[in-house]
Order: sequence, then C-alpha cells, then structure tokens
Amino acid sequence: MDARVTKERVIRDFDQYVDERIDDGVFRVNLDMFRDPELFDLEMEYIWEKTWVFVVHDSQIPENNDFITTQIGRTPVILQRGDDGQVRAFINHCTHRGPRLCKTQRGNAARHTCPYHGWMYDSNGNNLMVTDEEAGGYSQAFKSMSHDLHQVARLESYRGFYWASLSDEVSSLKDYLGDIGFFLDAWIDQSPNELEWVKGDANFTYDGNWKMVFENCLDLYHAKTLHASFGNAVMNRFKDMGEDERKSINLDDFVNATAEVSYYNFENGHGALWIQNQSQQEDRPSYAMYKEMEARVGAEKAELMLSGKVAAIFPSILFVESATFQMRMIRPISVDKTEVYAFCLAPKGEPAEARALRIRQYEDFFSTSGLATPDDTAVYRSAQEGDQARTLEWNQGYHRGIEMIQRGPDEKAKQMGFSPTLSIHGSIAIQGEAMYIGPYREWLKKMNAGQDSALSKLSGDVRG
Amino acid sequence: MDKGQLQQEATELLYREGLTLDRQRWDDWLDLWTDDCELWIPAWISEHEQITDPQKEISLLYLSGKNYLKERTERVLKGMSPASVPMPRTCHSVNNILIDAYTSDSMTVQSVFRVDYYHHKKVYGFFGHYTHQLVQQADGWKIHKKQVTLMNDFISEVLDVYLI
Repeated sequence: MDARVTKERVIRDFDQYVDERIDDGVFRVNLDMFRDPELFDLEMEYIWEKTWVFVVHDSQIPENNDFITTQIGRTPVILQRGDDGQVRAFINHCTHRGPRLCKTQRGNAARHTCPYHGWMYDSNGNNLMVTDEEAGGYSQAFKSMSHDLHQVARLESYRGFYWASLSDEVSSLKDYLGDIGFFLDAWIDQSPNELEWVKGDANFTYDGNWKMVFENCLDLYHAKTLHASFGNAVMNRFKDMGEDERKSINLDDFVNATAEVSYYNFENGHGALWIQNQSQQEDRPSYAMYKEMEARVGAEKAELMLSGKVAAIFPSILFVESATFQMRMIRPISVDKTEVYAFCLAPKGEPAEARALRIRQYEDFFSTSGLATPDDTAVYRSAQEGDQARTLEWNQGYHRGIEMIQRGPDEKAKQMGFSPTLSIHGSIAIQGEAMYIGPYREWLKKMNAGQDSALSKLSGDVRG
Repeated sequence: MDKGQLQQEATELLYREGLTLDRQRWDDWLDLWTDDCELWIPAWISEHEQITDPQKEISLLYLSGKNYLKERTERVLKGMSPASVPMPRTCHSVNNILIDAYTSDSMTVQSVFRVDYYHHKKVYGFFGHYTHQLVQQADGWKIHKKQVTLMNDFISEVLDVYLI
C-alpha cells in the first residue's frame, strides 16, 4: 500500500460554503453541504467523530447490565450500565476480529460473547476470556496487550442526559452545552423526581441530508403551510366532535395570536426558540403539575417549563416541545439518508390522565404515523431532490427575521439570566428562520479545525 | 352460524378492507368499521417485546373512534399533505385467516398481511400480523378492533392507515 496516496487529501476551502454577512442582511450556505458525498464523509470525520454526540438518557438503561446500541458518526457504540451501576460507552466491536457484540437495539447482558471465536467480556468492558489462550502459542507482545473493549474517549452526563465523544480533545460537556443547559433544565425540572423514558420505539428514516431535520426544528415559518393538513384536522375535530380530545395545538391560533417568540443562538452551534404568552397552556400535559412547578422554581422559570420550546444541540440531538415533548437523535447514514431515533420523556409521577394525553399528543403530531412529521419527511426528500440542481449554489431560506437579529441576549434572556450569542425577539408572526447562523458558524469552525488537525498530522507523519 | 360460515364472513370482510384501501374507496372502507372502533399498532420495546398499554406507552398508531379514521381519509382527499401527494399505489394481501374465538355476533380473527406500495419510483412494504375483532351489526359484520403487529417498524418517512 502506498501511504502517500491513502493519506493524500484534497484541501477544501470550507469558508466558501458559509456566506455570513449579517450587516448586509445576507446569510446563506452552499447547496453542496446537502448533496456532496465527499463533504458528508468529511463532516463525519471533522464534526461527528470530533465532538459531543448525544447517546442515551439514564432512564433508558435503568438496571445494572442494561445496554443500548447506537452510532457516533460511523462508529457503532454500546452504552451499558455495568454491574457496578456506572454507565460506560464502548465501541461495539470485538477486540479480536471486529464483529458487533451487541446486535440488538437494547437488552440486558452481564456478559458479551463474540459469536465468531468466543472471546468474552463483562458488562464493564473487561475481557474475561481469550478462547483457548493457553494452547494458542501467543507471543509475549500479544499477552501484554489489553484485550478489553475499546472505550469511547469521553462520556459525560448532564443531569442524566449522556453525551459521548470519540475524540478526547473536547471541552467538558458542561462547557460544550453552556447556557443551552438553561433550556434542558426547563425540561428536567418539570418533575421533582426527574424524567423517565416512556417505552415504545417509533423511529424513522428519510431520504435527505441530516441537516434538514436540524434546521426544521428551528423553523416556525413552515408550520402554517406544510402542516396545514394537521391544522385542518384539528379544526375538524371541533366541528365533528365538539372538541379535540387530543387538545393539539391549533395552528391558526398559533400564528395569529398575541404570542411572542424568542430565538437564540448559543456558543458551540446550539440554537433554541421559546414561544411566550401562548394560548392553550392548560391543554398541555405539564399543566397538571404547573402549580407544583411554580411553587418550586418560581413563576418565570415555570412559564418557560410549560411553554412551546426547542433546543437544537449541535449536531446530534433535538429537544422539541409543541404541545408535548419529544427527543430526536439524528444519525446521518449518507449524504441523502438520515435515521431519526425519537423518544418520549415525561416527568416521573405525572398523573395518569396527563400521561395519556401526553402520549396521544406525541403520536398525533410527532410520530411518523402522525399528522405532522410525515409531511416534514416528505418535504426533506423533495428538497434533497430539488437541491440536486447543480447549476444552483444557494437557497434563500435563512433570511426571515435577519433584520431583527441582536447581538447578545434579548430582554427575556436577561431576565432569566442566560447569555445567547444572538437573539431575535418579537411577535410569533415573524415565523423566523434566520437562526441558523450559530449552527453553521460551528459547522465551519469544526470543518476548518478538523482539516487543520488532519493536515498537521499528515505533515508530521511525512516529517517523521 | 357455524364456524365455516363465520370463516367465510371474516375472510370476505378482511379482503374487502384491503380492496377498498387499494382502490381508494374511502367511504366504503369507513363503512366497514363500527363507530366506536379502534385501530392500534403497538410499538416495539425490544426484538420480541411490544408495548401492552396504549395509555401508558407509545404506540406506532392508536386511533380510537371512527372520526379519527375519517380524519386520515380526508387528509388524503384534501391533497394538502405532501406525505400522500402523490398517493402511493398500494396492494394489500391477507392470508392465513383463522378464527380464534367466536360467539353468535362477534369473533376474533388472526391473519397475516403484506402491503406492497410504490412511491417515488421505489417499491416499499409493510408486513406483519393482524388481529381483528369483528361484530355483527344490522347491516352486516363490522370491524370493532384491528390490532397490527408491524414487523418492519423502522419507518421510511410515513406510516398511515392505508399502508397497513
């Protein structure tokens, strides 16, 4: 093998993909970011395999030896609670020849035995057996190797939410999340007893780039048009049944009402939005616990806890609350294929009636069998197809609200005490879609840093 | 009614359900259901375990009452939902129909199904088991409950009543 050829890289000028001129009222990203397979491979290497990726919530693996499998970038990963109760992240790969040790999405196992040659590991990742080692004629060098499972470089928890990184050159998880943690707290603190996973998998794929679902959750502009069919169904429920027993968000009301909205960008690529003074607050499942929340955390925080809100944590996880709350883990498969692992977290100790309402609302809007998400996935596919127009380089889709961007916090953020890098505040009628600047700044930063590090490693190798 | 005759009634109803969906005869399809009907696709928890209580756990689909079925057919008819524009072409196959339990005016029917559909120049499919609870009403046998065990539950973009 010729090392010079395999290590050769085309040096990319990533700056050309992100055109940020806020003072001139322009922000746009190049369509190649959605359609160039080589760029996708570089995103895997420079972003997904170099930063914190959300992997599991504590309540999804509650018992000792429980495990769940996932992916970080292209790497298959096991999250397992060991027999000592500690959660660890391993690469799902037998140290000997490489088969995946956990083949199911979740389970409980005190031992992992590789089906190929029988090497065995415990739930803490320790190698228990190299099959027939004594008679194997192994070298001293082999015997001095660790045969344990490869641990993922970093694993940290934010109040029960675990992120992992394949690279150890990352800041602490707390620093990486920064002030978007304020939004996470608004979900976590909904119950004095934390959140729990509501069982049942409803995962899906779509034929489009991973950034489409990330963008979608920070875009209120599409709600009225793309989800008109959902809005129509909700209106008809009042007509046919006298009420909507699922108490879904009325989209007409949503756009025309007196509600206000704040959009935020935070350090490290995170985005958020928060709908204020929204009607139908009493139709939210969390309303059942509102009095208790208010007494515990105060009126301002309780309002954020009850409100419609989104936290998009770059690049891997979306916390989305319309009427009810869903988490969406993004798993890019190829430039035009994405898996979404969706799950419902709810306050422990929620009254049964509120829990049932939460579940119906969740399925009604968010599920891929529901009345909203399938229209999103259909349009991602359609945009992926439209974006193949190779003579075109740019879309115009990041300008709505751009004139209203303020640097630093808006009044709401100041009151609450968190520090976004950019804010937009105004009537919900803005239906903003300008707050992709933070995520794409981070994209650019990670791509440049990844390339610099790869190139310096390469020149180091050549010198060495 | 003897079991042979019930078997024939059940078979005809299940075939008719597939036929009305495939031919997009939505009103005829709705006529096959009781007003207080239930259509339930429990979600999976692990390889061979599904949820058991739709009020406490997440379902792939849980519709209770005919109005919620009608809302699905109207969604298709109105043409405002990109998920069903264009509508996939579907083909329902139902097999291995067995009556599990029956009285003079109700029966529980087990079967297997496969739905092939054509969308975006590709063939997709769903397959699994049906459990139908049928009841006899003045105008014939109706579907009171349909429970679907969906084997391939990693959904490609959309799952809806006309795809299962």
